[in-house]
Amino acid sequence: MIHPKYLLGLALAFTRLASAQGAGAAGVTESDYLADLPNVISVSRLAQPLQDTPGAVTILDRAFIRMSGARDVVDLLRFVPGFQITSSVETDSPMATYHGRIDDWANRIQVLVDGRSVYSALRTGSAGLGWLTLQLDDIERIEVLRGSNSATYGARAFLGVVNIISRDVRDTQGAAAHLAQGENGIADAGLRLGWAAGDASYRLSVDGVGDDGLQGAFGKRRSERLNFSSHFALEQGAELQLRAGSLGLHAGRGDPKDLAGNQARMYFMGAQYVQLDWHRALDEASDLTLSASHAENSHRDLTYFLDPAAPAYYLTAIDFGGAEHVDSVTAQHTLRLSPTLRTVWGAEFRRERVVAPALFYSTGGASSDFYRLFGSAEWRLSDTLLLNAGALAEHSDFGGASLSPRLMLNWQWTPGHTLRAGTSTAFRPPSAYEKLSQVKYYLPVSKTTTGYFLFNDGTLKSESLSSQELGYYFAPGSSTLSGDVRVFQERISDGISQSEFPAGTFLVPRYLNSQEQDIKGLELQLAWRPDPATQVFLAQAWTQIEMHAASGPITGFRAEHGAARYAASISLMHRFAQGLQLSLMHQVSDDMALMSDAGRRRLYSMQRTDLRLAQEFRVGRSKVEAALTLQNLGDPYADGNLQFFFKRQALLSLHFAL
Amino acid sequence: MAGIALFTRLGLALACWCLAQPAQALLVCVVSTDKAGAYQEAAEAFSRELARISTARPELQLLGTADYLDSTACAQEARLVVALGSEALRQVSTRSTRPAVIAALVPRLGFERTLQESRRRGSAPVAALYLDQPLGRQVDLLRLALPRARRVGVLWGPESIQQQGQLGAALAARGLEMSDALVTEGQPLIDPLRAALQDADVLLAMADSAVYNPSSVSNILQTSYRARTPLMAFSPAYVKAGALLSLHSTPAQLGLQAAAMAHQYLQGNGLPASQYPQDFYISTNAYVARSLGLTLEPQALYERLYKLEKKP
Repeated sequence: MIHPKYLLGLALAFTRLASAQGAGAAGVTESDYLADLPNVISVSRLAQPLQDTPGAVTILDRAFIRMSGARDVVDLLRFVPGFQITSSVETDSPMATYHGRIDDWANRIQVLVDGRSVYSALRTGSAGLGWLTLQLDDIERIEVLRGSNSATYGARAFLGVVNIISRDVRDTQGAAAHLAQGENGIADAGLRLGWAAGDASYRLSVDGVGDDGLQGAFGKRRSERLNFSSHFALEQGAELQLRAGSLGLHAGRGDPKDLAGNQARMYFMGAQYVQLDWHRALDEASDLTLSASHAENSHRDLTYFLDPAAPAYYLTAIDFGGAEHVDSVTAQHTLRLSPTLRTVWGAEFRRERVVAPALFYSTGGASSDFYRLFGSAEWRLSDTLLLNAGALAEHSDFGGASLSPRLMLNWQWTPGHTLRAGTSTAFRPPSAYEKLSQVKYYLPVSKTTTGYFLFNDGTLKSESLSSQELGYYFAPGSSTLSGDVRVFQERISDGISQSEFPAGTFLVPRYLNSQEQDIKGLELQLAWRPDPATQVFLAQAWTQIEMHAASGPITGFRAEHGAARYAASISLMHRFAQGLQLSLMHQVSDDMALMSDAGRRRLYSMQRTDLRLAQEFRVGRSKVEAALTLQNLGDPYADGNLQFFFKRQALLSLHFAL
Repeated sequence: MAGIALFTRLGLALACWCLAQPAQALLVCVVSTDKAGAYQEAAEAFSRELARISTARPELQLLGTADYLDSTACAQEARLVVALGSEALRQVSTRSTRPAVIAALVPRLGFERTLQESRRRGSAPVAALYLDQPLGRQVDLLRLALPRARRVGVLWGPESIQQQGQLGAALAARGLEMSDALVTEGQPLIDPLRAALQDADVLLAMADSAVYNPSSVSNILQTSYRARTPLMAFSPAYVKAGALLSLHSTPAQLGLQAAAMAHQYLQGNGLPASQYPQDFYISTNAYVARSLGLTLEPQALYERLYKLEKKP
């Protein structure tokens, strides 16, 4: 036996030798065979295969994203079972949620972009603009973890997690561009440059997306985006990634006829971030990741009360604007303790500071610190049994202390077939707005200040979730068919919801822990790849929401029907010879309430069919793809509001890779 | 230095053993590129095995390349020189008067290049025990380990490209297709890497430091892992780094085979022909395999590959 010390010496000698050769005269020598190498696919990089994951996962990869013809991430999530989306920018940026919502904003799922939570505490707290962080061409894949994941991803992963993963900068060298033009004012354009220098790789992407929004809405939108991403290979296999970006959304909202505080107007949402990640394998069985990020979000939306019928309020400023700073530092240590036990543990400190004088009348804003300590273990009990156990302890200024544990047992009863059973508990602390917002208005006519129109006294506590699920994942090696079935029940207690009050009384709305609800259902996804050129993806979801307590009949009705009773989508994608591609997608959604429903208690159903035809060809050394996308071939459907319709629109797009 | 200390200890042990031999013993010089690690392991195995099987009781001298240049005994009296590694082979080849040479721990392409460079000088016969594995064996293992793989991605460098035709034929003979690309100097690795990975079910690594080196390994392994395309490598270090499996021979296995070759020559049967390793080793990364949804049993693979080769 040779002492490891000698091997190390040898390794260093050969590393130097081989590096010198790499730079100079190439040739095959024994050092190619004998040199030691850094651990690259280190323990934390080893992705869990789908039969081992502690829950149901839907993955939308780059090919699917491109062939779907979608123009933003939210539009893609309609293919994920259990998700509801709206492309309306009336209240928020385009938005997606899982298992319904109680408000205009969706704040019960966590959205991560390259591991960074894009949660914005402005307003009720949601992924907000975070959905739009990356242009689609920069996305490698979207992983959706359906089911509570607070044990791993923090309290905001209350009902699920969407992981948006960007393309590795080393994969995007060279230049690429895209252009799209279509009906409804669609005008998109983007440019990407990737380059490398020594052991560093860089990418700069800039793009703009614009259209006239939904029919019947004043919701035209225009967004501009800039993202920079870099990767540095350091000594001893360590890696450093630096990312930064800026995004601005100018969108319309309101009604030209509504003078009572909701005038048609343009508003602005902005987001900037910088993120640093350092990763190193400590040895064969452990690695360390350190991350730090800073983000700033802003919201500018100012309108005036202009209704002559209420002269006392005339010219009153209504300001929804605010600014936010988020800082986060995380350390994560992944450790393989034995061939059958892999563990991850770590800590995060996060500070969210909101400044919005018009929404926090007495405090001008709010700030909360979050301390999180998390750990999870993947323990292979036998060849067929795997236990995923995890817990997160969190302390926040808004939610106090909580512990979110999760247990999931995966039983691979026969190769290619796995049954799952699991239970978890989670807590979501209230957002700054839910906890502390207070609104009064200054009346220019009388030079006085009104009483409270919204009053939260800071006593709101976290809402909690208890969930149980059974799952079945199958991907038999010999078959071209794979799929996942998830049966779940989720009980939300102390659910946060805004109380209702009859107009004309002195009751002031506030957020209360007033909601008790059960969400039960079944979700199914099937992927069929009869040959490498064809894929069929089917998603189906049956969701039943039972309200046991609500803060009022309207919010109760909306929450009860926040998810479609039945929803399904099917996508057929095929690549013909000679570079021709065809995609056909159909989606239905039955019996859902719209958030704008103010008491009519109507349920809506929708269906949508999209068709995309694309042709790839070469011009000189460049690869070009020209595509025609037809969105919603059928009748217009109500989207987000009973007066807003998504109507048929066609667009032509061109992608160039130089 | 601890490495040198161990080497010296081995030298002393051999010296003691040599002292006990009759003075007219056959002299065999083992010239090693380095005195530690794989070279030392191979030298030890060679010495032990030759002592075990040889009836002629040869005298062994172990030298570094610098000592060899100063040694007149190895140039004039030795019956056989065993060169371990490319640098040792190069030094041995530069001497105009020398005995027969067995080169080990040298890959075939490197051996042929060195031989060509020194063709003008020496006339004594040279035989090699290659460090790399025969292409047919590599492809056979690939089929056994990944029976569903149809397309094999290959990245060539300026020197390894010489094997393109042979590998293409070996793959075609077993019903497999090749998806290959050439890495040229000054060009970013990513374009040929992507081209080779395009529709490939597995990436077969062919050693060439212009392609596979400690600074490129991270890029290659991560890119192929992201594409869920496993890498079959030529050294266990790659498996440790994240390749799915590797086919290689250990220095000890090579030392034994070199000893058998030396023994044959010392017995007067002439210098054996250059040859590939007979024995080999398969190492697998169980974690990468599981993560890619694969199951590999290195021992079972070894037995099946061994059996396959022994078939007439």
